[in-house]
Amino acid sequence: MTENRKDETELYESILNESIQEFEETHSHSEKEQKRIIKKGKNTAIRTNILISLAVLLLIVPVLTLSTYLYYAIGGKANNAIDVAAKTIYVTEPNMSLEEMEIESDIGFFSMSITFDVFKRIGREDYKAGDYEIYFAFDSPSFPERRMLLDRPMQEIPTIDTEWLVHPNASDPIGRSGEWNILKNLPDGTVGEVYLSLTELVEPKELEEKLGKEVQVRWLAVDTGFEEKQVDNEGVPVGVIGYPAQIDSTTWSPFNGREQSNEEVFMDILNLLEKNEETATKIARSKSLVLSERIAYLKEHGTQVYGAVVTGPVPELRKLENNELIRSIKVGEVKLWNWK
Amino acid sequence: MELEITKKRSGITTIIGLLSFLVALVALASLNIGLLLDSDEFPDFFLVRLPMIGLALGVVGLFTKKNSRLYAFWGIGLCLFILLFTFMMFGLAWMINPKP
Repeated sequence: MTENRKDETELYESILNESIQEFEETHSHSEKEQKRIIKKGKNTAIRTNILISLAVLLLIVPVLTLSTYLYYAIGGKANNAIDVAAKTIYVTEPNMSLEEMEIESDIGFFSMSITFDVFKRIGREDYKAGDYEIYFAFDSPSFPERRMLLDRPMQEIPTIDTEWLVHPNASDPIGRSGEWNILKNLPDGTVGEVYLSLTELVEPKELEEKLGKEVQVRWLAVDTGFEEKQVDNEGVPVGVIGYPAQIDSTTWSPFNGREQSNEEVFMDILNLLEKNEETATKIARSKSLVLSERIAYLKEHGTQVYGAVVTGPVPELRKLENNELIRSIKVGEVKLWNWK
Repeated sequence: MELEITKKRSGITTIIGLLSFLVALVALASLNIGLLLDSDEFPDFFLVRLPMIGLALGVVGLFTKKNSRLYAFWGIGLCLFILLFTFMMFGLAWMINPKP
C-alpha cells in the first residue's frame, strides 16, 4: 500500500517537473525581452492615459456649450428674456422704440448677453437714441448697460424731482417755467420732442383731439394710481408707464395694430411683465414697477392719461403754451427740419 | 499563452482604431477652437467630414482582437458626439432668438 503510494508520488512529481520544464522552454523570456515587454506595456498605458485625458479636456467646452444652449432653448428661456426686455422698453421709456429683429443675442457658458439699439421719433424720422446691453446669468439679468446718444437723457434712476411727466395732483418740479423759453429760443426750422404734463386726466382719444393735428402724439403716460404719490407703498419712487400712441408699421413691433389696439397690447404687455417682474424691474430705469397693483387699478378705472410725449415743428409746439390742458412741459430732443 | 498575444498586438486594425481616436481628437480640438473664437463661419470639414472619417475608421478598428478595441470605441464615441453636437447646435441656435 505504502509502496504504491510512493510510486504515485514519484509519477506525480515527474509529470509536474516535466510540465514546469516544458512551460519554461516554451515561455522563457530573457531579461531583455522582459524589459521590452514592460516598457511596451508602460508606453501603451501612458499613451492611453494621455489620449483619454486629452479627450476629456477637449470635451469640456463643447459639453458646456451644448448644455447652455439646451438650457436656454428648452422652455424658451432666452426668447422669453428677450421678449420681456423689449417690451419693458416700450412701456417704461417714453417715445422709445426698438427694432425687434435687430436684437442680437450672444450666448456664453450659462450666460447670455443681448444688445439692441433704441430709437426715438423726432419730427417725422426715427433717430437712434442709444443702445442697451443686458447680461443674463442663467435667466436672471444684471442691470443693463445703457449708452445713450441723447442731448437731454432722462435720469438713469428716476426720483420724484427728476420725473419729466407729472400727475395733475403731484407737485410740479422746480424750474419748469424755463422750458417754454427753450422752445421760444429754438429756430423755426427745427422739429422737437416735448413731454407734456396735463392739468387733468383725459381719455387717450380726447387728448389727441385737443392737441390738434399739427403735432403728433407719440407716447401716452397712463395713470395707474401711483403717479399721484409718485412712490410705492415702501417709499421707492415709481416710474412712469405708458404705451405708444401711434401704430408702429414695423412688422415685428407688438404695436403694429393688426389684431389689437395699442391699448389692448399695453395691457397684454403689463400682464407679461407681471409674470416676469423681477427681470422687468432690472431692465426698467424705475426700481419699482408694482405691476399687480397697477394692473388691478387699470382694470377698475380704465386707461386715463396724465401726460404725453408729442413731436412736431417747433413753431407748432410753442402754440401749446396757450392750451389749457397743459400744465407744464419738458423739452426733449431737437432735430433739423424733417416735417414733410 | 497570454504573453504570446502581446507580441502580435499591434495589428493593422489596432492602428486604425488609434487613428480613429486621433482623428476624433483633431476634430474635437478644432471644435474647441471654433467655439472659443466665437466665429460664425467655421469650416464644415472639421465639424462634419473629419468626424465621418473618424467614425468609418473606428468601425473598421472594431474588427480586431478583444483587448485592443479601446481606441476604436473612443474614436467612435467622440466622432458621434461631434456630429450630434453639430446637428443639435443648428437646431438649438435656430430656436433661440429666431429671425426670419
